[in-house]
Amino acid sequence: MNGTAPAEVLRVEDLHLEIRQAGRASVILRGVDLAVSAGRIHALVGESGGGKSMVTKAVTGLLPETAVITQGRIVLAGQHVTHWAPREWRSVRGTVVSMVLQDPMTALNPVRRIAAQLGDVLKLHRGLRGAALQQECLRLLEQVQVRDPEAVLRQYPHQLSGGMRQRVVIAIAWACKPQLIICDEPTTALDVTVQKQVLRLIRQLAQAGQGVLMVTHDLGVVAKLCDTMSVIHGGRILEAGTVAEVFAAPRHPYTRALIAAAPRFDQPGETLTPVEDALLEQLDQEERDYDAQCEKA
Amino acid sequence: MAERQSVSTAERLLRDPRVLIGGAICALLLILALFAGWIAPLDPEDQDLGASFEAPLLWGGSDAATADAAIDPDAPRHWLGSDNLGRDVLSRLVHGARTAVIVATVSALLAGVVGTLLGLLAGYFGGRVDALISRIVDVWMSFPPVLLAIVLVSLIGTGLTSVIAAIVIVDWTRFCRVVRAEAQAQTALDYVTSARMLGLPARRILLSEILPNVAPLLITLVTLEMGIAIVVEAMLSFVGLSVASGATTWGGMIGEGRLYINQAPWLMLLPMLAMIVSVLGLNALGDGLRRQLDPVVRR
Repeated sequence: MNGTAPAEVLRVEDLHLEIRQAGRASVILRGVDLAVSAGRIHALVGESGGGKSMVTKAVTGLLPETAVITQGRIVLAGQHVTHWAPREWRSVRGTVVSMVLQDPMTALNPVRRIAAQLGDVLKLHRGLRGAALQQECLRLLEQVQVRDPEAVLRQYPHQLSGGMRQRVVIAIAWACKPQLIICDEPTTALDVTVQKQVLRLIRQLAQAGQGVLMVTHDLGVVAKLCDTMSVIHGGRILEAGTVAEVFAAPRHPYTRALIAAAPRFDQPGETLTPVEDALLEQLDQEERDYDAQCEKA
Repeated sequence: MAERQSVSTAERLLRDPRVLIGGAICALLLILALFAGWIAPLDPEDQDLGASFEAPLLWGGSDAATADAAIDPDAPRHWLGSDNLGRDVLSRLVHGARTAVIVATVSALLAGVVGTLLGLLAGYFGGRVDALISRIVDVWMSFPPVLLAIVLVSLIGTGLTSVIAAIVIVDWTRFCRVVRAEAQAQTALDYVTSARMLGLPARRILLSEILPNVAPLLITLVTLEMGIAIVVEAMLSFVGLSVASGATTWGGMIGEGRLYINQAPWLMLLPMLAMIVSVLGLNALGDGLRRQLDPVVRR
């Protein structure tokens, strides 16, 4: 790494992961490499079941008890966190790494006011109380462009619109300026117009120096928002690079197929080509071969 | 829309006949319990052997009572009759309500606290904690509850505290199972993941995130449990293992009245009626609250 490159906040190297349940092991991740730099947005693209959410769980310490990391390592803000215990994870959550979840309808506690939920994290990690706490809550809500923040603080989540709620969720995630923020499909559950605003907001916030890992299946989001990207399928990274490079000249046939399958607004009326069965079949075969090799080894 | 929803919860509750009737019965019970000393016309333990087995006035009264009144017009009248020792049944029923309410409230709340705590732990942590707590509950529930209560009370002795302890020990599992399932469902929701991702300690997540979301369920469970506690207390006093003889209980009245069922059926029927009405009232209230507060049933 040379001196001019921004610091890496997350590095995942050759991560292998299995789910072991009732004496059976199923391989979920087959060697994932990933790097997120400060101030940059990295996209992790892939279809459902490709291992995206397992990667986010691994780098936040939220893996289920049945998941076992068999190989590889995770470096989070310079710390080796691969085999951390829950207590160690708690010391970095909120302050070093935080997360924006997909559905703002369920990401906020339905029976607590916004002030309490936003206040929690500020009290816990920044020790704010009383007027200072109130002040900071207002500032954070203004930062995520919530109109009438005083009123919002007194409200319950169900009194806010989806877009407003996602802004609050983002404000909570950004409250303690963590170095890495994982956004798990942050706009999937929102209206298209609101999507755009929320994405712009994430872009602005990331420029303050946080690294963002954007998990998505929406190539439109990737193209508009992200700096670098990795394409994941079947627990393998098929292709990685800057967004411009990958979109201009996708090397892997799966990436090409994904790009071809995405609807484009500048070419109305074009027919969408779904990812071909033959290609998916080939990928599945590669995974099976890979697993067989691992078993032999 | 949101405002309307929160207002209509109260309105819906007041429109539900179950909640209204159940609530009225519970309120009546509570008033009787709180003001038993003022409401009861006579001392429940005051014996008047000259006026035993008087029939309730509504029953038509008895010759003895009429004769008594003729001799001494100032003699107390027994609206609901008197028992074998000439004690006033109405006064005993009112004081019995006090015992019932104390036992029901305290034991339901304590069982609720114990069961909820363990249920939350099992549901949130899952894995080994869950396995351990769930196995204990399974084993616990395999004992016949009434038998367990009787054995417990005969071991730790009679008295109000023992009865309450026995009911708590027998019935905490009821709360534990339900709360565990609910806590498990809540833990799977994103807001719990978010809270964990913010580094909140487990204690905070359990008490200030999950518990408030389980609260509607708890209100219902406590109400239903109170009805069960009344029945268990009555069973214990029926077999003579409840509160010491000093206090009046419905179960005790039923037990004593049973001996005179042929001469004075009201001695047994009236406390039974009181118990049935109270338990029905509590169940109606609990059921109504569940229907109105539980979003799954409501839909």
